[in-house]
Amino acid sequence: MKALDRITAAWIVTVLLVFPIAILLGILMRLNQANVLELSSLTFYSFMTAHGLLMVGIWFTMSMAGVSYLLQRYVEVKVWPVTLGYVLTLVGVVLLLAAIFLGDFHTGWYFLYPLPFYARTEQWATTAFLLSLGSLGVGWTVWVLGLLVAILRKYSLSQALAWQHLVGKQEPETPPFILITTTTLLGLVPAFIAAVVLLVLFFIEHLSGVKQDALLMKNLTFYFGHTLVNEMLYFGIATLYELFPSFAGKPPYKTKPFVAAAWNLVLLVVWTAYFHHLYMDFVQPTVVQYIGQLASWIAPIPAVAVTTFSVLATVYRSGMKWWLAPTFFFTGVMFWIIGGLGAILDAIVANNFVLHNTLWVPGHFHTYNLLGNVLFSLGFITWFVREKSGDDSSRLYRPVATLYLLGGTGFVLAFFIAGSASVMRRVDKYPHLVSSGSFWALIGAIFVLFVLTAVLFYVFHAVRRCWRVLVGSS
Amino acid sequence: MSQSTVLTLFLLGTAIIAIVFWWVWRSSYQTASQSVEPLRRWVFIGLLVFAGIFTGLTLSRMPYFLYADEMPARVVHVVARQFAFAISERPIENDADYAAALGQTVELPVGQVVEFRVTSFDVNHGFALYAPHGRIVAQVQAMPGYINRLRWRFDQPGEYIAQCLEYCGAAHAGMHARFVVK
Repeated sequence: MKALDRITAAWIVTVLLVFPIAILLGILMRLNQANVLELSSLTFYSFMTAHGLLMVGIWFTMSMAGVSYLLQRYVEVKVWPVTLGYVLTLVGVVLLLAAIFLGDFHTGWYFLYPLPFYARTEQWATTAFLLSLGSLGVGWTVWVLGLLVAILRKYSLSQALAWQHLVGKQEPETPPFILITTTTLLGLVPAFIAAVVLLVLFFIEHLSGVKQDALLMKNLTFYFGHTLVNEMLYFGIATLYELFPSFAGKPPYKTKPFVAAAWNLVLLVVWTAYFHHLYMDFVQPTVVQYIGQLASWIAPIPAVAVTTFSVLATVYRSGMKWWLAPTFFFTGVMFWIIGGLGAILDAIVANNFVLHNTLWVPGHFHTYNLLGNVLFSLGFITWFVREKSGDDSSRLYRPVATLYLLGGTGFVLAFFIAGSASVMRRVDKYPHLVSSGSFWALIGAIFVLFVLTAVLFYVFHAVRRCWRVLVGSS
Repeated sequence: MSQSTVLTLFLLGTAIIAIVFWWVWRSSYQTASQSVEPLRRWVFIGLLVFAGIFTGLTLSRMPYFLYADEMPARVVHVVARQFAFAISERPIENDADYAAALGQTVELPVGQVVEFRVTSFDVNHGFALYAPHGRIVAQVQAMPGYINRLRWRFDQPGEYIAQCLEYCGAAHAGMHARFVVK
């Protein structure tokens, strides 16, 4: 059994065991908002912080693990950066959970400066939280750089970015998987640098009391946070490009000039789209607000015209045999662009003026995460399970796909409808002026129970098979 | 665009996307291969035109320039601090000013431009204006060390609620203030 098989199986087992717990935290939050439960405010916001950090953490790392595994088809992948990423992630998560559940750390997953210094949190918990972010940051940076080095040992940077295809040359050939993975990894490097600067500035204030500039800190926070979440979607797309054509019995995708152009454009656009998080900070230079809207609207064009079109063209009249993996990828693409539609409507500054920090926002990000990015990773996991155990999860196909997609659709719709009624996000109880929020919270909680049921079935199935890979008995 | 218009557009777009995916999925049970590659160019051009028109129309409606060429009838100072807003027509520069302004009910004129100068004495907060009909009509962030200026004209009289929309700590949900427009 190869070491990369084992570490990939370890990632899958870990992520799948944490996933239902993170969903459960979300359900408890929605039930509290629906007045079915009575959690203390501190407990609610601790759950909110843990839910956000766990979901971002597990699905970012799972998408990285999938890409790391598939990358060995093209280049030699060292196992140690993946393993170091795993160990430091575990250390970070343990510190994080201690800070949240033992030290009442409750600032939300994005810990917007200077809230950590004003929250009713144990002093040690803030230190533990910052150290946990340091551990995650080091682990993920080394992992990202490890993959980049692996690619650049075989391809020059211009080849990895498929610039030769931009000018119409056929050789040397850069597979789309290499192109997308490279642009995604390159997109992450400055985001991690921003995170390091952010953490250092946090520590300076924590240790010396020297105040930081709130606008600078907010820019750093959202540059890092937005880019991380955006790029994990692109890792999922890289996986899709690599696996999806084979599900339809078609040859691998090729890097045509428009594919190369699209992903090089995405690399540039992803660095500036985060400005849309700061639209309501009127002191931010107005020119970057324009850039934020333009970048947010340009980004989906290549995504739709290239990726979505290619997936639809692959499926069209293909005689495809549907099973869980291609279904996850196909529906994942659909919800990815539906979530994207919700996002770009909110990325219009004039709309954001009335939608910012309402439930519209979790509406669109749950659509392209729970029903998009997570499905891309589950598609990879299902394929991996079949590769290693020969089981194509056929018994699970209809119940899991139906429960997950139906439940997920109802769950996100409740967010969108409530958001359009000005119900705010991130509150433990809805004030009287948005009392409809409680109703929609209950609807959301009921629907997400379907998702949880599907996930539990799936986890039971996939974890047992991946565990055998992990312990070497497969 | 009102919230209802945005929701309608979203649901319409979602329905179109879902129908296209459903139709393609149904077609996958056939095996008569047919290239749809020539369509890609038209999809790209269509998206470009759609995005161009949409952004072109909406970029000119930035809230940063609302009533920029009018002299505001009132200037209102707003300071956010965990977990209350102090709102006053006098500048709020220190803790004493903040304490004095807390709990005051400000009256604002209907149909005239008001400028809110919004800041924070501690963490980031939101300052969202909920109209008597229960929907947000405008908002801006309250950031420590900066003053965000929001100009707005209230066309409907009644009681408005300013609600914090940026998560600011354990009692965030209850952070609001009332003012009257008449």
